[in-house]
This record gives sequence, C-alpha cells and structure tokens, in this order.
Amino acid sequence: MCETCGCGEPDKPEPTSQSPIGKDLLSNNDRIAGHNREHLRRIGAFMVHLTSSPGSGKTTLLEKTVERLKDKLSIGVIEGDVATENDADRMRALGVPSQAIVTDGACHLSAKQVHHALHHLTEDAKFDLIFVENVGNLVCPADFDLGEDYRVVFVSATEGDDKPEKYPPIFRKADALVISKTDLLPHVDFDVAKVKKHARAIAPRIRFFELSSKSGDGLDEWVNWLLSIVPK
Amino acid sequence: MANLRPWLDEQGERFRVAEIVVKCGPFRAVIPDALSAAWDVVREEHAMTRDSAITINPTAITVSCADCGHSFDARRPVFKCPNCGGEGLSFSGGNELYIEDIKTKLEE
Repeated sequence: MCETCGCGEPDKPEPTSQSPIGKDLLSNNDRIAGHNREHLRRIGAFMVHLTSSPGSGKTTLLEKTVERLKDKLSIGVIEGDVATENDADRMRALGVPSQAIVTDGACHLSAKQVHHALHHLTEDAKFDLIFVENVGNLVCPADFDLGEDYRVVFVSATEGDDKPEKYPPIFRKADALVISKTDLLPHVDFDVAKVKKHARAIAPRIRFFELSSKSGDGLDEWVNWLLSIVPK
Repeated sequence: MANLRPWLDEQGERFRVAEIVVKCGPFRAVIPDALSAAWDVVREEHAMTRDSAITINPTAITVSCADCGHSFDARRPVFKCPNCGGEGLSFSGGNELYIEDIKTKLEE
C-alpha cells in the first residue's frame, strides 16, 4: 500500500545496530505514529483520537458532531472495535466515510492499524478532519500514540467520578476531557469539580467539555472547539 | 517486547542473556504480568535468551505540593498532600518504559 502512495514502509522494523538499552519499548509504535502525522500533513487532514471506557458515548457524540459539522468540514472516521463494525455502520448511515478496524480481541488500536486504515480511508477522498475512535478501554490505549493531533478522553456521568484517580495514564496524555451524559447528573452521584480537579493534577493543560448528546447541552462549545483546532 | 526481535536476531549466538531489566513508570499503562508473558514469548524464539528472566523495576513519580512546598516520591499519583492536606499537587516523571539493562553470561 505504501509503495503506491510513496509514503514509505513504516511497518518494517527499524534498522537495529543500536543497543535497545534505554529505548522505549513502544518506540516502533511511536515511529509509525510519527509517520501517520507526516501522512496527515501531506494530505491536509487533522486527526482527533477519542478514547474512553465502553459505553461513555463516543459514537453518539460523533453522530451529533457530524450532523453539526458536515456542511463546514469534510469528515472521515476510523472506528476501532473488538468484534463488530457497528460503529462504522452508524457513521456510514450518516453518509460519513468510515473505515472499521476490527481487532478480533485486542483491547486497543496501534499506530500500525491506524496507518493501514488511513490509507484505505483517504484513497479516494480528501478530509479536513478525521476522527479515530479507539476500542472502549481506559487502560491499554493510554500508551499507544496513533499519530493523532489531539487526544480526547471521555468520562460519562454514570461511570463514577473517580476515573482520573483510578486510571491516571490515560488522562496524562489527554488534551481534552469530555464529561458526557450530563443530562443524567441530577440522578447520579457524580462530582464534576472533583473529576476536573484530579484530571488537571494529572494533565495540567487539559481542557474540559461538559455535554449531553441527548439534550444537546454543551455541543456548541465542543464543535466550536473542533472548528478552532482544524487548520483553515 | 517485539521491538527487541531484530536486535536479538542480529546478535546470533554471541552471548547468553541472563536477565533483562525493564524500568516502568506509573504513568505507563503496563501490566507487569502481561509484560512478563510477552517476554516469555520473545525469549523462546532465540537460543541466547531462552533461559533468561525479566525484572520490572517500577519507578516513582515526584509529587510537589503548591500549598506547602512539600515534595516527595510516590509509586502512584496521590491527590492530597500528606504534609498539609492541600490538593494543589503536581506530578513529574513516571513516564518511563525502557530496557534499563541486559545482563549477559558466558556460554556454559
């Protein structure tokens, strides 16, 4: 695939005469992630990575986001899932080009998988903004750079407000935290201020969005932020 | 651990690996048992590593309290200062995940 587009062959291992001592164990993934960024720059696209535990509302927010942005930006989606293409099909139903990565059991996406998906997705189309939705998991995706420009972590109101304390690595590298399903806040014990305080301690520059895909509250701020980060 | 394969292939039968030492920080999402299992797979592929062990050395993060200036090392993030009870804590370090040492032994 890379032979035809001329972007090189990042899947091949690095030349190795150097000692592995001191080298990050995920350096190969990081190298491919860097290649993905180069590829995105070359095709003029910007990539946002969405990650969270299962059921936090990533796909539903994507649907609402696409509805609001489809006349302003050309959007493509890469959907990671353990066993189905359900989420990719939901995007296709909205007319959004979508490439599924079915991991067959693996609990996270890798830069290599996203590299292949990017090639398939962008073969015949041009995008301003590409979302990559990771497999639902608050642990393993944390360490895998996919080549994204921004990483967004979700915590839904029903999950509990101790997630930043319990799963610090995934928040450490996050650029933004979406607190989702805020329409349910009156019915659950979820301290928004506590989540923000702990997330900010772990990732001092993180920004927050409180929103409900169901009621629409907070969606304007979310889509305006997306519009602001995508290069014109 | 698969990153090591090409380097191990290059070494051939020059020496035997007794132990591989990995440094791992609390901000890396590493499950030590999973890392050990991954090494078990890789080491079986090479004669030079077949009898080797893996040691995972956890590193600390440095926690600093903006309220009282107290600074201390911790194995995982804490959100309340043990000195003053303040919550203005910040963390540094803890992002390590690399091979710290490869201990070798002579052929028997």
